[in-house]
Amino acid sequence: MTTTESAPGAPQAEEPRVKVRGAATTIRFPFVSMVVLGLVVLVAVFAPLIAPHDPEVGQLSNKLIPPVWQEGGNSDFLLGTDTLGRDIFTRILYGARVSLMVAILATGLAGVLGTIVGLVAGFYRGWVEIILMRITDMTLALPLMLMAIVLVALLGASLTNVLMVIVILLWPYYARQIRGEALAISEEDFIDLARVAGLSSPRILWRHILPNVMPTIGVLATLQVALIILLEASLSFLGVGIPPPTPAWGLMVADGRDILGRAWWVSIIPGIAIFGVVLAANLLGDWVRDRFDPKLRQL
Amino acid sequence: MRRFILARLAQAVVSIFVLITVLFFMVRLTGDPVERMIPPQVTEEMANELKAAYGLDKPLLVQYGVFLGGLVTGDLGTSLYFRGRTVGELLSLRILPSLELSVFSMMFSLLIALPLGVYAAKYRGRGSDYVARIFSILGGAAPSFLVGLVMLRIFSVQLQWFPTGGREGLLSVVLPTFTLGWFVSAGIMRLTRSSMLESLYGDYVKLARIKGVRESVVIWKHAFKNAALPVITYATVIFAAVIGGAIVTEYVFAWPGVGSLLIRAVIQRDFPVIQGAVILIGTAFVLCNFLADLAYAWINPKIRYTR
Amino acid sequence: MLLEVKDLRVQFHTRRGVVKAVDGVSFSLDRGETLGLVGESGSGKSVSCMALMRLVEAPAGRIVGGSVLLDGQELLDLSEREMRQIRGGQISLILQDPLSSLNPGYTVGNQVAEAIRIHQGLRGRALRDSVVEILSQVGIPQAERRLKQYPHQMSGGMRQRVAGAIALSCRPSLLIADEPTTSLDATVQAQYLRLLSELQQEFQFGMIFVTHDLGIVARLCDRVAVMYAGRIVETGSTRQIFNEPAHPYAKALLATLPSLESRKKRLLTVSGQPPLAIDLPPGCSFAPRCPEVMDICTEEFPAEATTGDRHRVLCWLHSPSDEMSLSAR
Repeated sequence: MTTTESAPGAPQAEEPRVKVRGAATTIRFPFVSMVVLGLVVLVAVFAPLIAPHDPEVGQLSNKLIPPVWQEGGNSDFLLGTDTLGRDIFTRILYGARVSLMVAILATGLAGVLGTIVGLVAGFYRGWVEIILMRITDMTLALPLMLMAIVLVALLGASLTNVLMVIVILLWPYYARQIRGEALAISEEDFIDLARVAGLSSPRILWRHILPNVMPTIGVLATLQVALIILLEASLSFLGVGIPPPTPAWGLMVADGRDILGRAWWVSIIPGIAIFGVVLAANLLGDWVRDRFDPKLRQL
Repeated sequence: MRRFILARLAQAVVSIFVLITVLFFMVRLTGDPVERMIPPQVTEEMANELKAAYGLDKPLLVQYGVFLGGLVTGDLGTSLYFRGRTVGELLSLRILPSLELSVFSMMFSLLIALPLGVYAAKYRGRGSDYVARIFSILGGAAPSFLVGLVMLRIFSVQLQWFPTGGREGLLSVVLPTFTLGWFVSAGIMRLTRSSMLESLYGDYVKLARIKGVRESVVIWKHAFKNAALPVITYATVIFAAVIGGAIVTEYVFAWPGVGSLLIRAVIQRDFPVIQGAVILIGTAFVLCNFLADLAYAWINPKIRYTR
Repeated sequence: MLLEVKDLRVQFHTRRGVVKAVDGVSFSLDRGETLGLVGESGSGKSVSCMALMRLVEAPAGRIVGGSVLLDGQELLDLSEREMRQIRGGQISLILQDPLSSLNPGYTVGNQVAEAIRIHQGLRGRALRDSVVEILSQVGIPQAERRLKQYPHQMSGGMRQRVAGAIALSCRPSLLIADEPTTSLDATVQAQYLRLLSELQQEFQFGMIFVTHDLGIVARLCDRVAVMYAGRIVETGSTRQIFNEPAHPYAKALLATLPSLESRKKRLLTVSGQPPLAIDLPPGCSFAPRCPEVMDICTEEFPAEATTGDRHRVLCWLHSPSDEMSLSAR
């Protein structure tokens, strides 16, 4: 991997000045990540068909059964049960739904909101731009986790509120980036041409500028998926996210916190699920960024 | 330089003021704190009494004035949950533990991340680079609560090397420091590596080698100083990560810091405490960023030598 | 003889294959003499220079063969530690871009002092005096005051003088200048070249001047080596090369010189692309672009021919026919 860029053919051999930034373009397609994420999507969609038990109701007589490979394990409950006798495997399957739903909806909403703000700011300029960008920069300067906790505390813990808070905190990332690009594109000749042709401003935005910023939106969205899943899981773990009995992974980790010695699986198994998905999403995000938009490297 | 410092200082003060103001109005406008915490069976009369006791019956702007006045004198109000204890009192007990955890973790992560990032860049594509990158990729994906719980399970429950929580003795700080430190160092290492890669191939590094400078001096004196600048520009992101990570870590290890107080206050809907904790953390955040700006100016002669 | 380079070979290992960036370069240099190293970018000039200092980017690049004798000492056999004593001490190099070759994070004084401290072991007052002295020697006014300045506070010309001061601070016997004037504007460039010749008069160092500006070569150099695709295809005195170029590539290069006599601006370029050193044709590397190409050129590499006193060329046009069978062996 290292030697490759040093001298790509003779012309550069004169000065083996390495294109460092481009180095990461050699990252291989994250095949394993794709498989993991694909599996999670499938599992989330078909959870009711695959799941052997009810995700929210369990029998106390079945409580704290260890996973099947441990002594005392039961093949009815592959990954064991929690303090209320609920099947952890089932809850993991349903939990994938929660994580994915939050990730997709939050990414989508933040993307739409941020893109609109960015386009408007970059295209209309003037005081509109100043105000929108001030708000964007201020929001970006806030410590994410702290603000998420405060906002959920004020609004109350619920799935909708968690979603809303994540959108409120993440749209500026899109707005900042899209504005810059919209600015650059609106200077191009073909935009002048469209103006001369008498196209209205909203139409120019929609038909000519938006398609050109789509790749950036896509890259940003992929990069944010992991962050959102992690954020939601952390909030739920702290008890300021999705309320019980919804099978959110973060919440499940919190459930087993006090019985770590007796029943490690209650916490650790959902934790590993979060870890795996975030890892896969991160690797995919890195690859997408390097492949399609290397200038976003610093994000 | 003077002008730069003054400008940044003014910016910091404004940020803190905006934070306080926005927070105040957000808390008041999203609902009445008293009504949100008292049980429904309490009579309206009693509720009104409570409101009067906390000054919540006055107009919003008056409340804001009283609140600001209180802040100036260091009065952050009284806890709704622990009756009779002031927010200032509750917070002051927890500043030191939080500071201790953050400083230890920061030191730990710098000690790990900087050399790792530097050597990963130096030996790009070879063994140590892969080790460093795996360390950072895992650290970036593992939620700190999971790392914390796994540590607890192995080292506290199983091996009983460390206490399972709380802050007693030097041993109790080890696991939280590692948990938070790993999370933070993942990001720092990534930044260091990429910015070292850039400066290692710079002409001034070549020139240092041409002068006959020893390789270790080339790396740490010539390349690293310039690589540190971009890393410092990301200080805001790093501090934000420390704050977020510290809240989670404190909660996992029952560490008696401001973060765990905040979480408890959120769950108990103790709004004066939430407000106080956020103001404290926010101010610390702004101050740290200000210090990072100073460090940047100090290292970067281009800023130091312009008035 | 100050410097004798024999059959120097440098390779870069890339994913696409092995690049022979320097492929059997030989030349020699006397004290006080200046050798102009000319050629297109990518011909291996800079890599050859860095190889003389044994600073080829590892692990991709490697010196795979040859010999570099400096004052009779074989540099390729030295340990890294011994080599560091040579770098900046006996051999110095001035890089192309003064803007990026000085470290933005340290004062000029610090950077000049570093080499002197390493090689001459000076400290404190003596070190400072020595820095001021060399800075004045390269024509920096009020050197005393400049010590505490940072590179960004100086003009491009001043910065290149500082780079010169760093290179000459330890009185090297060999100075390599790698296109040191390309980023300077014309007047500053002329001043700088004059300064270099003056300093050479004074200190009698041998100089290798890398450039693709033949005008500079004519003014500054005693001898010229023309590089193409990792090899020196022609070498001789400046007079020989300019008056009777033997290699078609050298002829083409000289034809690109704008001459005052001609009314039309004859800014010709050598047509065609230089080859990728990764898949060199079996015969002469220049054959695909050569206006005088013959059948043999694409089949076999030409043997070295001598056409005059220390004037040598690698070209079939000049290889005596009886040597043909010898090299075909």
